Amino acid sequence: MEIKVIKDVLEANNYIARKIRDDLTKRQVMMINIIGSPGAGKTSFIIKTIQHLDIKSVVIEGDVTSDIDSRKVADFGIPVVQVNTGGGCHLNANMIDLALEEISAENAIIFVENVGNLICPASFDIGEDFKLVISSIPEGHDKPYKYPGIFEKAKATILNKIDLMKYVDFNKNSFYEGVKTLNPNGYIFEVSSILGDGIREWTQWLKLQFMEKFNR
Amino acid sequence: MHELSITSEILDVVLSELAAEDYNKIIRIDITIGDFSGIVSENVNYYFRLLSRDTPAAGAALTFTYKKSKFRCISCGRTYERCNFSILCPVCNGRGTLVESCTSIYISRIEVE
Repeated sequence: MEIKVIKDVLEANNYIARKIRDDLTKRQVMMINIIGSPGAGKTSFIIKTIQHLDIKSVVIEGDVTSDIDSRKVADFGIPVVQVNTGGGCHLNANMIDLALEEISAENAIIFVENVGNLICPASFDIGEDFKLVISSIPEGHDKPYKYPGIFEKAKATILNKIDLMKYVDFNKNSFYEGVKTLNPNGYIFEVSSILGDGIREWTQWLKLQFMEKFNR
Repeated sequence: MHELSITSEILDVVLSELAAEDYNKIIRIDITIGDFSGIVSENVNYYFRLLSRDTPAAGAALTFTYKKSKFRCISCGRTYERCNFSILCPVCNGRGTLVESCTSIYISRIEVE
């Protein structure tokens, strides 16, 4: 006996993600799913962004076991909720659903730092408004070619550690061509989270997304 | 790496379908994988053997069909699929744009008895 089913394997996850998105929208909260390799500079980038943003911000830190990143965020006085995946390589929607029980903020942006990994987190909708991929100069210009899934899905790409360009053999044209091939309408921002280069342009764009979402 | 949670979802879906149809055993599951999903079928097979032990899905055969994302070359107009790590046109090496993105993984057919 044959049963014909066309069933998305991630339907259960996607159902929770849709519920999260609806709930957050009602609270006038925008959520960003930040994905990048280990060491791409995700935590420093989030801290720098929030320091330049005049919008209430909360961070959800996804990590396999440690709380190193969440302590770093908390040191700057930024509200943070830690989610440990217990060995898992990505965050999924039910983990975010639980973390959100601890966040009552309204009229705010939630920055979710996903587990450092360019493959697995790309497949899971966690109820975010958009995905943001962070790639850094020392990782090399080949990242869009090796991990097309996330560069295709991300609304914007952050090219971080731009201040290290002079020390590294990084072909910027090749990187841009890769991103544009996969995502012709995507935005690319070159930043240095340490020196602050490019942060103003990025935060202005982010603020615009927030205002447009809530018709302000 | 995320095959463990994906496989767990596959098992949940097929067992709930089985319960709904009032049959006893799952014989075969056909799965379609998009090439941008990052799923390795060998890993799904491996996890499935572990997770399905002592369930009506134990011993079921898994078959995989891959759907490949498609690009169109800006220079020569050809439609092409990604070869290895390149996303450039395999004929003229020109840059393309993504015209069909295959990111999902879904179950297309289940055989039960």
